[in-house]
Amino acid sequence: MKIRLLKYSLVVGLMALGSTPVKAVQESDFIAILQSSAAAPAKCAACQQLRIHGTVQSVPALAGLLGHERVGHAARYALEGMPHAEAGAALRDALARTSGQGKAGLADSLGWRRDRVAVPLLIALLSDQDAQVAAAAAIALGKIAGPEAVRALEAVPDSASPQLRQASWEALLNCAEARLKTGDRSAAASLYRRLFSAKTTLTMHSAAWRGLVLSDEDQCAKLILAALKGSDLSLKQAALKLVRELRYLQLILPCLQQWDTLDAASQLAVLDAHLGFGAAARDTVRRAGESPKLMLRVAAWQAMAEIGDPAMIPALVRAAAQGETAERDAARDTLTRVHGPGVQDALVALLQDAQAPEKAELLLALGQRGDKTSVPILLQCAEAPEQPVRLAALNALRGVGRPETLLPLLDLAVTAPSTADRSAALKALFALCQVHPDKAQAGRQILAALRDLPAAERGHVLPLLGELATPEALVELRDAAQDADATLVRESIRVMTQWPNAAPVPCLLDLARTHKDTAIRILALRGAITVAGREAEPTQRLAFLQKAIKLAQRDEEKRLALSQLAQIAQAQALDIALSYLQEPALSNEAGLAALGIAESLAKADPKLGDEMARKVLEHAQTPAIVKRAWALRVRPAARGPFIRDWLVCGPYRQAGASGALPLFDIKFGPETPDETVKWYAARTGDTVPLAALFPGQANCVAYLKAEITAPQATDAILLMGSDDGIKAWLNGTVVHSNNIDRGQVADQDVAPIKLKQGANELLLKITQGGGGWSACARIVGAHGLPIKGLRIKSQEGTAPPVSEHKTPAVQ
Amino acid sequence: MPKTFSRRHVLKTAAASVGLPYLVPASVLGAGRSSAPSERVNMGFIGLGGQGTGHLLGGAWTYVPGGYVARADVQVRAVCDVRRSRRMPAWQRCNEVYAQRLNRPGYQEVKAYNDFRKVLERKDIDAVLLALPYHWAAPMAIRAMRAGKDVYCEKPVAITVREAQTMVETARRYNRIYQAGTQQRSEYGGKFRQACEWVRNGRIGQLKEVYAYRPPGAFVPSPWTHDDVVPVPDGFDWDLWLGPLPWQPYRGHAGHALPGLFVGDVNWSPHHYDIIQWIVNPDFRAAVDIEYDQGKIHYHYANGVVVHSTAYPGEPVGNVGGACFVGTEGRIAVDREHIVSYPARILREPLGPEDKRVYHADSHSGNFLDCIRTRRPTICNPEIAAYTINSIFIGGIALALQRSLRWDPAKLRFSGDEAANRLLSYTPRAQWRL
Repeated sequence: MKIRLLKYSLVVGLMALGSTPVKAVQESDFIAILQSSAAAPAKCAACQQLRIHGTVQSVPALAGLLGHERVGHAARYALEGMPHAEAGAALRDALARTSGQGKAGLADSLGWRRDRVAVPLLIALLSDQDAQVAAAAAIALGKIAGPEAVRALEAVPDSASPQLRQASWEALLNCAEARLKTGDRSAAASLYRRLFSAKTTLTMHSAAWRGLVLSDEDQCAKLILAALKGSDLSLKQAALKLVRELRYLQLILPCLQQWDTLDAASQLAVLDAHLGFGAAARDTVRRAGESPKLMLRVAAWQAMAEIGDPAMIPALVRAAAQGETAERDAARDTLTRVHGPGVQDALVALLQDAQAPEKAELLLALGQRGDKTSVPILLQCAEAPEQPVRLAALNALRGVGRPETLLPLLDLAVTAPSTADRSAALKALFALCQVHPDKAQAGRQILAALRDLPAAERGHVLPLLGELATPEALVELRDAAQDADATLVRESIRVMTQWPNAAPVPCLLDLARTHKDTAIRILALRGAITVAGREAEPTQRLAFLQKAIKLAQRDEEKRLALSQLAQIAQAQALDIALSYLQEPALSNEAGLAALGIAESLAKADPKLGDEMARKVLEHAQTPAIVKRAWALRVRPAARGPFIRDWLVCGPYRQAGASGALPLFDIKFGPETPDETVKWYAARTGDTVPLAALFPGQANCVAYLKAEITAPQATDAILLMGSDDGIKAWLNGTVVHSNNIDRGQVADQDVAPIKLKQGANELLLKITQGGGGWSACARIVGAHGLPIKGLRIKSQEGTAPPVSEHKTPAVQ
Repeated sequence: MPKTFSRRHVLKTAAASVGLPYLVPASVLGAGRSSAPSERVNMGFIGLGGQGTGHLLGGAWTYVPGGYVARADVQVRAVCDVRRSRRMPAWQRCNEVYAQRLNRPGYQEVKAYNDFRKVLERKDIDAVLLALPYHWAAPMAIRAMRAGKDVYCEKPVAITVREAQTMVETARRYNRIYQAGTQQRSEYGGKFRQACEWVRNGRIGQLKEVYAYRPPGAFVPSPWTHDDVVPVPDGFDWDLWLGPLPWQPYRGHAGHALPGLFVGDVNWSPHHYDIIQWIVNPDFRAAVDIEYDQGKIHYHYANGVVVHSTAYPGEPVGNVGGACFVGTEGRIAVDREHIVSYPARILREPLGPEDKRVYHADSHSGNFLDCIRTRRPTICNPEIAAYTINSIFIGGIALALQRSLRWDPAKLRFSGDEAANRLLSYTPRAQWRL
């Protein structure tokens, strides 16, 4: 007996590993479990395995359990899935010795197995006193769907229970569909017709109507048209859907003949269906485009994108220029992508005579279509007398720029009649510079144009040089930076500051050292520091920054340089950062830089990270730096035990506050001094499983409270993990706040704290959006090690146990 | 032109019709700020956890600003949940919103229900939004459609191939509009649509491989039942929560799914695989080879594309609902936050007039409501939803059995693997038969 039990345990244990087929376990082992006195869960688990792997050998054992209250369902699950005839026979045999749900389930399984042998038994069950059994039998007969089944289902009397009546109609629909599938249309139509005429429900009526349409092609168009024009909403809904699904020309053409008598929804359905026939639908699209109904016109303009009818281009452009918002958007979108024979010609031809608003739409569309052949027309229109046309042409040129358009565009930028025109021309030039295949050539052309410009105009064009970033362009900027015109000098520095690499650094440093104007020296220095950050080689970048720091007179520039240092993971950079730690005005940036570098270096040298963090902490001024420094220190150290004794309260919620984030700052019980809070004691594992303590809760918060006794006042670190957000108070002061929607990971949050000697109160607030809900916390000393003598008070007996908590009914 | 039409013809054209790019703004369909009562869609909301409440009332995370209750083209009629603690706050809030908006203090016309069948019985409800534990999604959607309701159903939309197929057949038979809650086709600034159009138009050359960033999953319950008992919280209808699942005592778990019901991932994977199906655009009737490889799955589609269940090495974009598509001339990675291409110029070059477009919707809930009015197919219609979820199940079954399989989507069966076929369905409790 002991050996047998051991074997069951082994089998059940293996099954518990997952659904993996365990080859070591034989079918006979599962059968043995079914025939043993094993508990219901073990037998059910064996049934599950037999569902996948069972053969005819399993059938008798499974059949023997079909009447079992708990295991019967699992046994049926196994047998239903088996392809063997013996499984079907077992299910049929069990009908006689079961009742109620068990019997109804067997009937359902026989239906899914399409068990024709069961038909007489199922027909008999239609008269069962239990309405659920009778209804299940009807549904099963519908799945088997033979002539006998149909006869029996049609014979269900009007006086039958509502459940059986509903089931028999549904089953008859199944039978009719089965006939339709096998191509027996007339039999299907006949059945659908009888169902359609019967006194059923609205949904059944429209389902039967749909079947009738599908099975009777001669009547199809007539039926659908009648439904579209009729007052029966359920039939009309079915017809609207079916017209689109069928896309049947013999249906569409009669609908088109009666177009004017159809309402907008029906016209839309016919249009959608007709679009499946491509260009043949052009007339329908035109009719829709002329409709007084906005819905039809919008659909027409959308359809134009696929149909591409050149004759409709004028109407489309008019809609883009003058239509209502939705119509205009649809027309504009289509103008960018309408295609097909004659479409492009129609667009260009229309440009000649179009009024300004239409012309502007056409120009914008030509640009967005990316058609480079339209560039000459666009350049020509960029000089049109009407500003909207000019701006539209310049905007369009942004999308179709070619190398040869650079000079005309430069000319347009220089001679622009207004700021808006110049801005549009420069934007087109920028776009062109971005895609220009020969940056050097483009640079030379721009430089040549620059030299012909008066100083006042040159500043507008200089930014283009930054986009090209060629060596020649940099020389030009360097020269401009020496100009007497301060505005030009500033613009040159601005462009160099935006340079994509560090090439301008020497020039900018030189300006920072030598220029007579202090403001320009500062501007150049800031530019040099910024661009130095783009130097790929760290040693060179460090050299640039060292020079910049030496030149810096003001703290602002030193701070900027220190912030760049953080990205250089080198000991020399760390030394520079540390050297500024003691200067109060610079200690924050120096601390952040040192931490940034130390974080990189600590991966290889954890001791160094710890040492640097300690140095930073001596001068740190902001909580963010303190927190980051502690995180760096704690990482390599051992960790202490979790707090396992808590008082808990909640859940709290507020109407309208959904999700974890909005709840974070709402004050509930423990945060409101006057509110009485009912606490419960909870002794938990490392993690407080709030989802298990307060089952099924969402959009709420809970609080955790612990009392920590410290042997002496000490600096410490509070390590926390939470699902979702967490806020922490120590002795009434907020020490940590993280409003977030996340899963819990131990120690994911860190907060430096100061424990006083004796009792300290730690309060946590944990938010819950949905799904998992938990938290964990522990306190370690400044070195990341457990604090000797730190005690957590047991809450047992101080409050009722949390198992007595009842989730409050919210009403 | 078919001389006669058949079920297959209807299926084919229904699937093909989704290729049409259309966008009908709600304002065109009478859904402006002052919709007449007769133009409003009357809705019931079943399942009021985080997702359901987000849809109904809005919230920080939701992509339905203000929730359905804030929409002028929707009238919330019913809220339903088996937990009193969820349904009553929602009920209260909806009535408060309407009382304020209509200036009718004491407004009480939104009703609260424990049993969804009472919602489905109401003749005045046009549509329901279902945000349910996984095992309830298809059974309830099927019941809702049989009751004549249009349905928006959160993912996963089914837990077995049989459920998914029954859902498709029911929507078709009862002429219902159905939208699967895989909202990435419509939301997130059109990033996924862009990826789809760029890949389908050959911007990365010929598509060869896709990285899905998530394993597929399947319903392989373990355990079937147990003997641990925890008192059922007051106001929680545990038996109705279980519904079709095998009976078991309550033991404190009743979230999206009970522990151990699924192998792999069926929660996030629908988002990933929905986008992948959209972009790969496989032949819905062609065989798929599913290769099992030490806990990873590789799908081999008939068009030559291979979909891996893993992440593209070193590419972070794709992890949140996305994927990485690799072609002969570049690759595109997309997720909810980002879309990137290698080389970068691929995404900079816009589509031209000759390029093909796909179904365009800018709001997933808006698309659902528009389609209720027009009876056009939704962007995630039943056929699409079923194909996507089935692609997850077939990979999940390969994971469960730890072997490679060949899937025949036309027959909805595996070729030559009887054990795998036995996992395509399960047997619900008798009172909740499909």
